[in-house]
Amino acid sequence: MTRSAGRLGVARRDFLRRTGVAVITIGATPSILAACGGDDDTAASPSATGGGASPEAPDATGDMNFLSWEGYDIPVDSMEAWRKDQGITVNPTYIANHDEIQAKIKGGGAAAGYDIITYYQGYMPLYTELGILTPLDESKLPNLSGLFPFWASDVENFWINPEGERIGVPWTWGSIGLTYNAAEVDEMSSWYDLLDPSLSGKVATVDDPAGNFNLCCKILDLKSNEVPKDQLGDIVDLMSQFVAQGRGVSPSFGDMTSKLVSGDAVACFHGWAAMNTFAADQGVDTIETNIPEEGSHSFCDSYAIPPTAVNPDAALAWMNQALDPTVNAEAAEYLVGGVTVEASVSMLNKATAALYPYEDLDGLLELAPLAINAPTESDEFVTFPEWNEAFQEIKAGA
Amino acid sequence: MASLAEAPTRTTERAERRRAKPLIATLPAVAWLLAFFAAPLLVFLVYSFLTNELYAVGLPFTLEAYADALTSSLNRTLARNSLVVGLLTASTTVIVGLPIAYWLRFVARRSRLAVLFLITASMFASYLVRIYAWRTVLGSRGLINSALERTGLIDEPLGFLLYSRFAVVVALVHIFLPYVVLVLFAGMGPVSEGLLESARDLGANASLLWRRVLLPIMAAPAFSAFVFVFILSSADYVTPQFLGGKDGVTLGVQIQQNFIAVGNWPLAAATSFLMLLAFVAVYAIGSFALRRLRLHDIRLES
Amino acid sequence: MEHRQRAPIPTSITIAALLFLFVPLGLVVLFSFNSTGSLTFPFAGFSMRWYRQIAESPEFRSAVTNSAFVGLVVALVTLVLGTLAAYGLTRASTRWRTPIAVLLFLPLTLPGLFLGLSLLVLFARVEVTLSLATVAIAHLVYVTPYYLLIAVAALQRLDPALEEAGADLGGNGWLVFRRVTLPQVWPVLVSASCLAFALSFDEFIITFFVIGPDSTLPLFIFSTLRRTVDPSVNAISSLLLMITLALFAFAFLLTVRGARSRGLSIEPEALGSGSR
Repeated sequence: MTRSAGRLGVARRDFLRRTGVAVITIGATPSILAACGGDDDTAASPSATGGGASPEAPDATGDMNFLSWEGYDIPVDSMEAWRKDQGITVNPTYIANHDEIQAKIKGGGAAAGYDIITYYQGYMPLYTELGILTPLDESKLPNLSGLFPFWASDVENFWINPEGERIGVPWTWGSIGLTYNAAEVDEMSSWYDLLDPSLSGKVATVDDPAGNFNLCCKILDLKSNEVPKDQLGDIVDLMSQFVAQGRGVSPSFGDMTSKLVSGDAVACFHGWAAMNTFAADQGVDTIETNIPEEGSHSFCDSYAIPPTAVNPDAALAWMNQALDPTVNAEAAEYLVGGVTVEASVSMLNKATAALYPYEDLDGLLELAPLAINAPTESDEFVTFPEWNEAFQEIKAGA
Repeated sequence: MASLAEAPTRTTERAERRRAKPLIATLPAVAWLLAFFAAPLLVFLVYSFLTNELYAVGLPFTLEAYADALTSSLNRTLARNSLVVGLLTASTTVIVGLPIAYWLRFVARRSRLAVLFLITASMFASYLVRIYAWRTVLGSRGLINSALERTGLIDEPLGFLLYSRFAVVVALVHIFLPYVVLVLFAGMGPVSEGLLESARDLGANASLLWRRVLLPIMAAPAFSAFVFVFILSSADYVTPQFLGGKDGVTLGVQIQQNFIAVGNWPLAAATSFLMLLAFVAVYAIGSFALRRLRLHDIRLES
Repeated sequence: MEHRQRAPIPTSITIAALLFLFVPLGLVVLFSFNSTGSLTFPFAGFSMRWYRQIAESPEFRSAVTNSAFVGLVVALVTLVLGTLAAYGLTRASTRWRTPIAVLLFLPLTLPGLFLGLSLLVLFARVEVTLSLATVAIAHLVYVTPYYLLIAVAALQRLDPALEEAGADLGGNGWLVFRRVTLPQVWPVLVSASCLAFALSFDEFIITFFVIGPDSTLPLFIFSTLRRTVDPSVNAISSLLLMITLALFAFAFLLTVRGARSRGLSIEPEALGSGSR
């Protein structure tokens, strides 16, 4: 089976070549990109133990059962070539909602046979509790040495657990922003601008309980996994106001995009820079995304091997290859996302490179940090089930 | 006959066995449904009494899930939404379906076959696609709004059309109307034109004809169709997610959410069985009403 | 000679209903040919690009293959199991008949969400690997009552005298079924199993829960909706529509022809019923 450049990819890249939209403007950060200039300090990253020892990719082949978002099976030329070379066949199961991953792994019994999944860093505590993330053999992941220092670090145990074992390979990321149709409304510097009466009925929200919670927490300057129970009301109030500005909560980002394209919405709470490109593919090239002054949150998706894996070697080889500079760059272009490999930045086309300020990654991640989801159980803090119930009530206007 | 029934003999036993023998042919299908319909429901029912262990269940047995499901104010709102969506969809399909069935049975001539074909064929258009098609019709730049704007009837797009309970009901009616028409058409089968003829000869006008002849006869099939549509439309969770606004969010969405996003399987199971119980209640009340009105079993000799 | 009445109200309602049913479907097909990626008016121009795009997508092709495979298995197994069950139900007269009939028709009234969740829980419990096989198992449960509705109606209409004559001539049950019953009803049964195929081919809700590391066409459509909604979804749907319509037209003609050849008029039950 050949996997050509992909259904969506061709059109998207053509488009990106033609125009230079999708520039995210971040506070005071200059959006000029020094193409990864003075970063000659490519010394060994903190965690890459197997660095120079064996540059050989692990010898792995056969079927690999893949469970994640469409496009996260990286259907780009460089990955295709490698995959064929290796003799790996990908059997993708695409999800429409992050929660399907844990539901499938836990619900499908031990025999489900998924070899590789991805997880959003906010899910790390839940997935650790559910035993979904198995330790990865770093000696088979030599390309880890190419990660940006930040993505290589053990920040918040997102990818490296407290025991020092690697549990995930961060390979793509992005920031949540305020996405709006520049032909209809002016740029907004605050999330609260969305509550302007003139936008009534025109604001799209997305059915992503965790993401919405994390964003509301940032706006209210709260730490999303440590919100005192008595503050749940504040978050509910805020979220209700945004939901009340629109009609119905979109089931997905793609759905928000189609609302922007069809004119059923002019701005999105919890938007995403990639939507600019999705909308442009549908003929509306005036969609832009920025991060308002209150800040936002970012997501980083990591590959991981669940306990159901039957071919972990293929999964490891796959992860390693996803960190190949060329592959990582092409994947970012295809997905309209960020790269985690330093050497990939200079390979990006202009539009994808302009998505995020790689020269000031720390500044961006301070404005839009990587959040942790609310805990599943706690006597002190707001839990995810509590928030989910509240969010469903907001959706139902109760 | 009476004496035979009182004192069963070997011959009747043998006859009974002979009459039962063809039932053996149903065994493969029965076994299949016991294994993959009854058994899973039973397991799911057991789950509803177990303790939530986050994407897993454990002992001890408890009624906690039922208590949670019944005391949640959210569930009450969603149940009301489901009920309204189900009732609106079911009554619309039946009310619209009756004249169509009548047309097919008594008015149509050559076009009957073609119309039957079209109506049945539309059932097989993709479910997901039909949901999306309604956005192209009802959206603010959709068919209706563009047409109205072009004719100058409105300046601003009508917002209530999409992302509302209205949109959900319209899409569900679109999905279930063909089914209802077929059931009602089948139900009109035994009504002969002669019967209508005689009623007219006796001076019945159209309204009297419907009230006194057609509706009583159609009560039972219409009720079956109503219950079927009510159950399936009030439990639908995909249509409300894509087309519904606030009051379009239904209990089905919450069940799915509890199972997938919250990982509380007992709660999802308990809510499902409470919903099933409500369906049984609707069915029982309806059947009881039909019986009281003596409409449950009108037979016509044709 | 009966005289057909003119009935303006039922006639206009029927016409309106046909428009209601087909205008949205017509728009789906129309926009599958749109030259831009938009699904809203105005229509930009005619293009085949979305069809080309999906034809080049390996995920689409494997999803179609999977759906067709599952549908075929479901149609064939239903043809056998369902026909046997329908035969048993129509030829037996005993107090066991009713409970069995209730069991066989009950899945009709169970929402897909409940069936999907229950089956997922069962499969997880007994550690069955989720795959296309579990999808086929679930679809069989779902389509059985629809198949039976049609098959039972067809078998009920047969003249019992023919079968009795066959039995009197010394034929055993199977022989009578094969030589007497089957030749009369096979067109209806084949058309009913075509409908089973169509139902399985389009099933989404149950499949969503019981599928493993494969995809079917409705699931493929659903997963693409996450990122973007463009006319390629319409192109897929239009193809889907054409496939099911062709299949249905075939089934319909088979039923009509079968009914005519036996001198029966077109009766509603013969036309099949189902939803989604």
